Amino acid sequence: MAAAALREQLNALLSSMFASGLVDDQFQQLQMLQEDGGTPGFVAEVVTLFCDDADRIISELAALLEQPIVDFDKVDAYVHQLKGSSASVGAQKVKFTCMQFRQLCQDKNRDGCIMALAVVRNEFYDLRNKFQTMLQLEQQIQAQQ
Amino acid sequence: MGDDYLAEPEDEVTQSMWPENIGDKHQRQFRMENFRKDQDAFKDVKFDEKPVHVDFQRLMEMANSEKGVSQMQYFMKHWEYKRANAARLLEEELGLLCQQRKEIEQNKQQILEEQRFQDESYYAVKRHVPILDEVYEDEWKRHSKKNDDLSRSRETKIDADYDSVSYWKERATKLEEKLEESIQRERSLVEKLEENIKNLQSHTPAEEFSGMLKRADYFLHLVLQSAPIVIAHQDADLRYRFIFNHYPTLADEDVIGKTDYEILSGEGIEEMNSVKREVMATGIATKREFAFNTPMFGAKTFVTYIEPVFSKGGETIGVNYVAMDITDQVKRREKMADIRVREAVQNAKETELSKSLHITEETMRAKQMLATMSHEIRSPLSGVLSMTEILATTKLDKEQHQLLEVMLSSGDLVLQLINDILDLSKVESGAMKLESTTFRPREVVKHVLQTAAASLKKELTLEGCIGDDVPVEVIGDVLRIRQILTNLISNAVKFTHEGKVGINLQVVHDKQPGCKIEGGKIHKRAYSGTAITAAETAAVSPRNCDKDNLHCSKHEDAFQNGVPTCENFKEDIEGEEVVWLHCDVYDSGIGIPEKSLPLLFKRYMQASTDHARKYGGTGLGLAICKQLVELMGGTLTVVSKENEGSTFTFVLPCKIPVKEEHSDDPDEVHSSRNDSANSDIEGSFFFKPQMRASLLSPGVSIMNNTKLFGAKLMCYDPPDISDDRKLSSNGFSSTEHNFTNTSTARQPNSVRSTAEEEHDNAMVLELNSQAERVSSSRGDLVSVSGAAPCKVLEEQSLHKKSKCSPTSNKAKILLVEDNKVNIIVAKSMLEQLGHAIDIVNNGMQAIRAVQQHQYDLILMDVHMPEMDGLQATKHIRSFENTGCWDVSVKPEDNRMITDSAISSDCAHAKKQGQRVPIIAMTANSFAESAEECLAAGMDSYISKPVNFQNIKECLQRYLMSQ
Repeated sequence: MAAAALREQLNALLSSMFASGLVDDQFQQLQMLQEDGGTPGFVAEVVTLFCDDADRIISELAALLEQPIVDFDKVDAYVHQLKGSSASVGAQKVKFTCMQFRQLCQDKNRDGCIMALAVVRNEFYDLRNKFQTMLQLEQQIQAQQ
Repeated sequence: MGDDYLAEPEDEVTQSMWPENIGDKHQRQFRMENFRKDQDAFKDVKFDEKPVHVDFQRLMEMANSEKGVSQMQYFMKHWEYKRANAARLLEEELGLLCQQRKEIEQNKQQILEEQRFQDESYYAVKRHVPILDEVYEDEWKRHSKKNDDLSRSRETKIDADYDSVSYWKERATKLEEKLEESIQRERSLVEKLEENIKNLQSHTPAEEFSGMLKRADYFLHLVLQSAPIVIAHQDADLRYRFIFNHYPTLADEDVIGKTDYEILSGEGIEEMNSVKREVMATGIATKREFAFNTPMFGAKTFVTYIEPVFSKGGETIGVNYVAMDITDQVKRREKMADIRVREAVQNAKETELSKSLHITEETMRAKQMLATMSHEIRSPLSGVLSMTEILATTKLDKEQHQLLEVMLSSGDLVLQLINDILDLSKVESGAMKLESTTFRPREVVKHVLQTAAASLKKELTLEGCIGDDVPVEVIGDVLRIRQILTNLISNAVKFTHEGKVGINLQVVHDKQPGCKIEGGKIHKRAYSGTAITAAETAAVSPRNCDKDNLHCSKHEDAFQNGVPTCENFKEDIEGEEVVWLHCDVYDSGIGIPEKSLPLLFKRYMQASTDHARKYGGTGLGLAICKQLVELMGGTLTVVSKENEGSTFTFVLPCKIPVKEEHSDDPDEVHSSRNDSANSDIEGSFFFKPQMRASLLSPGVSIMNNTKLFGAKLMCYDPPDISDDRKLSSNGFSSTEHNFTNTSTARQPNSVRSTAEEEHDNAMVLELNSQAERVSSSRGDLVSVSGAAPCKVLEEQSLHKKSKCSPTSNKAKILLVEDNKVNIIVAKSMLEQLGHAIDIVNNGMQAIRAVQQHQYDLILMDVHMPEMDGLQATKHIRSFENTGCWDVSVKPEDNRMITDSAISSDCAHAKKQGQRVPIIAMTANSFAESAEECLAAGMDSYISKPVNFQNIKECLQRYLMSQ
């Protein structure tokens, strides 16, 4: 009974994530992979990996942008990485903000980059919160079964 | 009534319409306008005069209270004042009237006198002087200003002749008329006076009071009409005697004479009543907030002012209260408080966050510092090493080559040392990340021993023994495992002056701690004696010898060892299974005193200061080993006996790669073995560093001999009892030479092969033939000790066959991608499609992988560190076309020691084989255009993020064509 409620909650969360454009089809693919491939925990693994990776990159970026002379090539490389990761998990919003970020890197616009980083960070934290909630719910469902 | 009141004569004081008890200050407070008397201020105001239910009797009682009395006193005073005022006015009026009367009387007198005078003059002097008349007329005139009626009479004219009888008559009648008028006026004045008096009497104080009260009442109504308040008076029993209630929930009739309890129920009533009682008891007014929750009007909060009412005698007779609904305000206030609390929490969180942020930043800086340091130390060293490597490619004689070899390995050792220090700090700071790669434990053990042998300066036997059930390939962090082994081996070598040092690798099938300890004990015993008989070895550690037996008859061996063979296979089939590798590193050295054992794994600690002086070293090695092993989820233990030796044992969990890979790889292993005659990778192998030493310094031939002796002893170890016996019965001399020959013959070849093989493929062929010869000669030698090589060959051919008809639907794919997230996603997709994949992280690694394995397809990320996908593709294509690698990407020397045969094998295969399809994975960004990919030699591209559909299509297209 409780599991059903939790599942409902999870579904609502997921559909809201899709509806708000936080995640896109790619994320759906991952879910399909998990279901079809019979590899439970795959999404969780990917998501966790992504979150850790993104967290690391964001802090790297913050450190880079704090330098007196910003190495924009490095920044660009990191943003590229983040963009790749977010595209892979289907973190659409993070991906879009990364694309903007890269443009600013190309322009060597430091203030813009700092702002873009803040935006990326916000988007990422938002997403991570959702993901964490999602994983928790999944865990709870697992525990119920 | 009000009009009446306004119509009061021009009296300045009474114009104030507000009861005077409210006094001057009240007047100021209310800022009341002084109305002009003819204006009705309330003309426009409509009073919806409701019958107010008041307990009048109670009002009387209240009038007796202190306040009431003062009110009354005021009224009295006011009334008296008004009376006095009226009296004064009347007096004035009276005075005026009196004066008029007096004048009239005077007039009358005059007229009479005149009459008399006229009479007299009538009789005596008929002459009349009309002076007085004039005066009178003036007098009248003046007076008549006040009275128009009278002034008119002045106009009367007398038509008759002066001083005639008729004249006088007429005059008399006129005067008579005047008098009459005057009397009339007097009468009217008196009347008015009377009326005034009467009027005055009609203004009784009661009437006035009620007027004033009514006025005040109107004002109060006007002011309070829309005020959301409740005003009430309650008596000593807290029964309502008066209520003004803005809220229409209760009619007055419902309230008067009742208590709160009778009207309402619910929260707050009790509290309010107790406060009221308290106010009555203490006599001190109070202001409080009461939260009510009643069925009648729900949850509401009222602020209530309660004041006691005292009687004249000073005793409390009730309370007045004013209550105002502040529910909304309270709600707002609570909201505000809530917001403030949240704000505070938020602030606290923020400071906490910024603190942790600060700590994180600090940690990051420390890590950065670490990275910088390692870089600073490593880069000059790698400069030296790469120069050495370049030097190795130039034309050198053998001796120089050997020297360079040592230079390189020493350089590697220094690098290792630096890495050690950094590793330890990394592990401790939690920054150490383990990498999972597929590796071959046999090769690792061999390589470690080889490296140790290369720098060995003592007469020691290095031996390795690997259980046959150890999987060919396992997944783990090979670098770290190698690091642990190297560390332990170098320790063992350091503290061993004679005898042997070895590695024994097995699989623990049921990871039982008891087993492990037992194993340790066994080894301790095994190496405790200097004279080891093969029988003893065979008895105590069956796995040391199981290799030969296994190759002779697998089933027998399986029974002998008590290890069901099917178990091995099961593990293999299921794939991704974890095996526990049990590795002993043993020596016959000085051993460790028991009391020193606990300190052994501490940093910068050695067994004793004496040892430190004697043997040197940082004391970091074991600490790193222990930390690394624990990081990998294993355990590291030690068993030792002084002067007899030590055994370090670690048990590690390792994954076994999936079956396809497993079945593929032994092929290469076997074939490589075949080619280079390194068949001893299979089970146990030995190193005779002496050989190398002899090559390095051919002059020391005597030394060489003694070392050869050692080598021979060691060679007894291949544990076949019969062989051993034979040898011992035959005596040393003959076999010894054989051994020496084969060893010398073999060793240089392998060295040569490592150094030169990649440049000279023709050489490989030659080497192979040589190796064949060697193995055959060795085969002769060991034929007595077991038919191992033959068996190996047989197996190899079997595997070769299986490779000839590969199962085409399972392709082997190399995924080149640096982004972990992308890797995991792509990997999952490919696995679901049923493909085996290898993963590397950059172009350089991709080239290395291609050098070692054959792939059916390569998925290549374009944008990567170190070497990007385009460059890697160019290199691979150029190799495919020319058959040799570009200098910058040629296979590494030290890898070649282990992989030479494999790569050469691969090289052959590739030379004959076809072009590997390389598919780019592009992010569709400016830096990665499709044209560039195709120009670099890629076959196609798919755009990222990789999705199931496009990867499937792509794979179908390129794998089908093969």
